[in-house]
Amino acid sequence: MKLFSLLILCYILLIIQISVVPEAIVAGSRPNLILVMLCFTLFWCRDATVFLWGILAGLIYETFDSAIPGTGVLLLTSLVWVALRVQLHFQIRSLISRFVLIFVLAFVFDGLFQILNRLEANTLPNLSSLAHHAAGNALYTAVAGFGLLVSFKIILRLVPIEFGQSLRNESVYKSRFSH
Amino acid sequence: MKRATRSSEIKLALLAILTGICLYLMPSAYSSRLYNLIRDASKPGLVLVQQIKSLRYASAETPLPLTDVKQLETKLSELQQENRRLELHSLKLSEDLGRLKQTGVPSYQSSAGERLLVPDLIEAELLGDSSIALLKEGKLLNQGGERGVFESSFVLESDLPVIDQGEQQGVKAGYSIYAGQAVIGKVNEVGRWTSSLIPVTSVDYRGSARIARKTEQGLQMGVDGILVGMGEGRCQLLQIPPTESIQIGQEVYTGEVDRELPLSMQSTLGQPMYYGRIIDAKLPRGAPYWKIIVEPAVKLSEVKQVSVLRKIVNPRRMLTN
Repeated sequence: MKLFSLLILCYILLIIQISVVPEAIVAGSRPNLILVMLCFTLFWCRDATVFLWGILAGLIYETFDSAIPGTGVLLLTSLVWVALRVQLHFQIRSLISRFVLIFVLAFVFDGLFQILNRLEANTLPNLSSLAHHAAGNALYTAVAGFGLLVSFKIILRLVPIEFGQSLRNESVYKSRFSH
Repeated sequence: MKRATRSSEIKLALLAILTGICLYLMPSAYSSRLYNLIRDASKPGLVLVQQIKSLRYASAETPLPLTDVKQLETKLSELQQENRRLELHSLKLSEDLGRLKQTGVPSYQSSAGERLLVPDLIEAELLGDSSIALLKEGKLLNQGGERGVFESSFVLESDLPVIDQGEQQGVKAGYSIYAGQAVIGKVNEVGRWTSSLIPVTSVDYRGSARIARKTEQGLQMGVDGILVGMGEGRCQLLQIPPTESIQIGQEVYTGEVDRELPLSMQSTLGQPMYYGRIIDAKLPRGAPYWKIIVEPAVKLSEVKQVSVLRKIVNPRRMLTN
C-alpha cells in the first residue's frame, strides 16, 4: 500500500513538474517536486528502500534534464544516504525540521547537479550566481514540500480511512532516551 | 540499528552507486532506451494535462476579429518565408564548410572574383483574358502592324497563361518563373513582347527537384528527382529511390541541375527554390521508386506579378572592360 501510494504520488508530481511547474516560475526559481517526493519517502519509509527511490528520482532527472548519464543517480543516492543518517540520528519529525531538511537537500543537489553537468561542457557559471539560483530553487522546493506536508496532514485528519498508519512506519524509531 | 538493517542499507547504497557508474559507462544507445522508457511512461499523464489545458483554453477563448486573423496569417507566412531563407542560407554555409574541409583552406588569402554570368530577375505581369484579347485583335500593339510586326501567334493562341515579357526583354523558352521564392512554372513560347508559361501543375511541366529533410545538423537535401505536373493543382515527384526517407509535410526544392534543359540554359539562382510540400507518399511493394504527390506552394490564380530568371553578363565585368 505504501509503495503503491508513493508510486502514484511520484507519477503525479512528475507530471506536475513537467507540465505545470514551467508556468509557475517565480523570480527565475522553480520547485523541484521529484526531490520533494524523495524527501517524503525519506520521512515515511525511514529505511534503506529510499535508495531505490533515489535511483528512480535520479533516472527521472537524467531523463528530463538531459544530464550526463549516471550523475543524477550517484548524486541523489549519496545525498539520500547522508539524509537518511541525519534523519535517523536526529529523529526528524517536526514540520520545521523537515522544511529545513528539504531546503538543504534541494540546495546541495541543485548546486552539485549543475556543477557536475556543466563541468564537462566547460560552461560553469559564476559560483555565487549558481548558489543564488540554487538557493532560490531550494526555497521554492522547501515551501512546496511544506505545503504538501501540511495538506497531507490535514487530509489524513479529515479522511476517516487510516492512510497514516501505512505511511508513518512508527516502528523504525527506537527511543534512545527512554532507558 | 540492527546489523541486518545496516547490511541491507550498504547493499542498496552499493547497488545505487553501481547503477550510476554503469549508466555513465554504458553506450548512450543503451542508456537512452531507459530514458525513453521513462519518457513514454510519463506520456499518458502529459496527454491528459494537455487535454485539460486545451479544454480550459477552448472555453476561455474568444474569437479573434477577422482583420487580426489576416494580419497574423500574413505575419506567419512572412516568418515561414524568412525561416526558409535562413534554412537555405545555413545549408549553403554547411556545403561551403564541407567543401573547405574536403579541399582545405588555401595558404594565401584569396578574394572573391566577379562571375561572368550572373542571374537576373525581371519582373513580369500575368496578362488577363481581356489584355490577351486586345493583343489578338491587334488593338493594343498595332504600331508595327503595317511593317509586319505582330505578336507571335504561338503565344497568343495558346491556352497557357501569358506574361508581359518577351524576346525583347531577353526571355527565352525554358527560363524559370518564380513568385517570391516559389517556382510557379517555366517559359514555354516566347513572342516579341509576351511569353506563355507552363505552370508547375501542368502535365507538360517537368523539372528537377529535391526533397529537403530537417535534421539536427540543419536542412539536408536528398537525391535529385523529376517533378512533373499532374493537372488539378498537384504535381508528382518521380525517380526517388526507396532508400530515401520520405515523410508527408517535407518540403520540395529545385534540384541542382534541370535535366530538361541544356547546361547553357540552366537558370538557377545558385540556391534551391521552393516547389511545395509533400501531401502524399507511397512506396508500393517491389516498386523501384516512391510515388510522391506534391502540392505547390503558390497557385497561379493567387499571383499577378511574377519574376523571370535569366542569365546576363555581369554588368561589373562589363564596366571594368
